[in-house]
This record gives sequence, structure tokens and C-alpha cells, in this order.
Amino acid sequence: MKTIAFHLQKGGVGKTSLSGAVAYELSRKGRTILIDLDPQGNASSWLLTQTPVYELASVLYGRVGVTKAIVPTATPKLDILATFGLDGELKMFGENQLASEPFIFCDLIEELARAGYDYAIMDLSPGMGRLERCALIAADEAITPMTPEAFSLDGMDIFAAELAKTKKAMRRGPAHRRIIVNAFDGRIDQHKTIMSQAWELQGFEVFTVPVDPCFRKAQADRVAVQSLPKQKAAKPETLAELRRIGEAVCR
Amino acid sequence: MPLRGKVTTQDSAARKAADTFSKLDRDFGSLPSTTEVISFRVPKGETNRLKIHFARQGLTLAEGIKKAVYEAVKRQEGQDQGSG
Repeated sequence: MKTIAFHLQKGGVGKTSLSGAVAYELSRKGRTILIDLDPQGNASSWLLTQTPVYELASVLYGRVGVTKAIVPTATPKLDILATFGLDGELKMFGENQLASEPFIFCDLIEELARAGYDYAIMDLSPGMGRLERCALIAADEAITPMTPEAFSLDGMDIFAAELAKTKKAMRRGPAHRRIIVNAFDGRIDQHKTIMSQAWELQGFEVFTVPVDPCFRKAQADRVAVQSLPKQKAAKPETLAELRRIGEAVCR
Repeated sequence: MPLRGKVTTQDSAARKAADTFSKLDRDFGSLPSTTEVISFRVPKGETNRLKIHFARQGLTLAEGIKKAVYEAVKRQEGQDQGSG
């Protein structure tokens, strides 16, 4: 099983939107599970129409086996380990329990592999606390979504430094070789300036997802971006780039 | 680092981006400080077609070609690494 974490400390760069969209792409290739590691539970409220009985924290606290907490989405071969935004316990677990069980997500990933999943996508919350660090060390790869503006570059600086520290402290960590520049608007000079540097970035694969209202429409309608009806459909460039990201992750 | 390289102009945005990206993996070193020109010929009329194509993405002809070339090379490099 391949495990991919979507993370950048900065909020609003498209971590949830892109992890949901890429999870959809991967579900075309094999059994995929989206792990909602954001205490706000946005990925869960997006892709599920009903609140499930158990959430990810129920598994982490050992109240229920992982297979009982997995919920299918409307997309075939795409399941989710949900987090409740309201009255959820993931944040509390991260604050109270995780220090004594820092490798619990590695164990979780092993169980999901045994359950027959081919891909696991982790949607992390903004910030770089214990929850994010412990999740990152369980991933094979970290993909950093960013928007082409200064605060995202700050976020990338912080991510690179924290990832290096985490790898040193925990003796393991994900590869970081792919960046998604999200909400790219070719009419904005600063976007083009930053992209021009990103395209030349050696050793990294850089993807460009254009600014596209399809993500907010899909989230409002609680469907995958790729499943939107014709009148709300994503831009062809968006769909093509999402497919390219899916193909790259599978390589 | 944050609080350094505050972005106020296009030049400083470029500097900030170059600084951030060059630090992602120190093994790759910094971006080249000098540049060179690549040019090639295309059949008459093709330039316009390409211009229109890239303009739809908000890119100039040069920006579009640069993006396409780098993406293709990186994709190929990724495949080579995968098969190796």
C-alpha cells in the first residue's frame, strides 16, 4: 500500500480539496482510503452525506477495530476514515494520548494494508503539531499543496525545516518530491513569477491546478470534483492535471 | 524563512520563490544565476495556434512552452527513476 500525506502548515491552500480529488483519481487504480486527520472534519463532511457511527479517533482510542470505522463513499473503491467536526475526539487524542503512542499511525497504516487497500491518502490539518508530525512519519510521501503567493512560500519554508527535524528525531519520514501549485491564475503577474521559479525546481515534480470554482461547488454538493454534473463541471485543465497527479502518485 | 524576504514587488516575489525552492533540498543547490536562450523553428501559422492555446491558460507563448518543456522532461525523468 502507498500512503500519501497532503500537508502544508498554511491553511487555505487546498489540502482537503486536493486530497479528496486525488483520492478519487487513485480509486480508479485500486482500493483507496481517505484518512481524515483534520479535527475540523472537512473531508468527512464533504464526502459523506450521513454522520457515521465511529470516527478515526474511536479507532485510535481502541474502542473499535479499524474495519468497523471505515465508511464507503459514493465513489466506488473509495472509503473514508472519518473525523467528526462537532464533538469529535481527534484533537483531544492528539493532545493527550499521542505523546505516549507516537507510532500509532504507522500501526494504523499497516492494518489498512492488511485490509486490502492499495492507497491511503491522509488529509492533514494546517499547523505542524504532534498530530501532523506523527501522521507524516507514517506516510511514504508528502505532497505539499501551495498557492502561488508569499505566505505559501513561508509555509513551504516551515514545512521543509520541520520535515527535516521530524525525520532526524523520529528516524523516519516521507519523501517530499511533489508540489501542487493550486488556484493558479495566469492573469496575476505574481502567480506567473512564482510559477516560473517552480517549473525550474530541480528534483521536484510540480503540478499546476488552475483557479477553479469546481472545488467549492463539489464541496457544497458533497460530491467529488470529478463527479460534478455538466453545468458545474471542472475546467478541462483542472481535470487533466488531477489525472496527471493521480498517474504520478501511482508510479 | 518567514519574516525574511517580504514580498512587495514582482522582483522580490521571484527572489522569495527562488530562495524557498532552493532550500527544499540542499542537495540540489541554488537556481542558476545566468540564463541562456533556446529557439526553434515551427511551420508557418503554428506560432499563432500555440499562442492562442497558452493564452487560454493565461500564459504567454514563452511561459507556456517553458511550462510544457519542463513538465515533459520531469515526467520523463520520473519514469526513468521509476524503471531504474
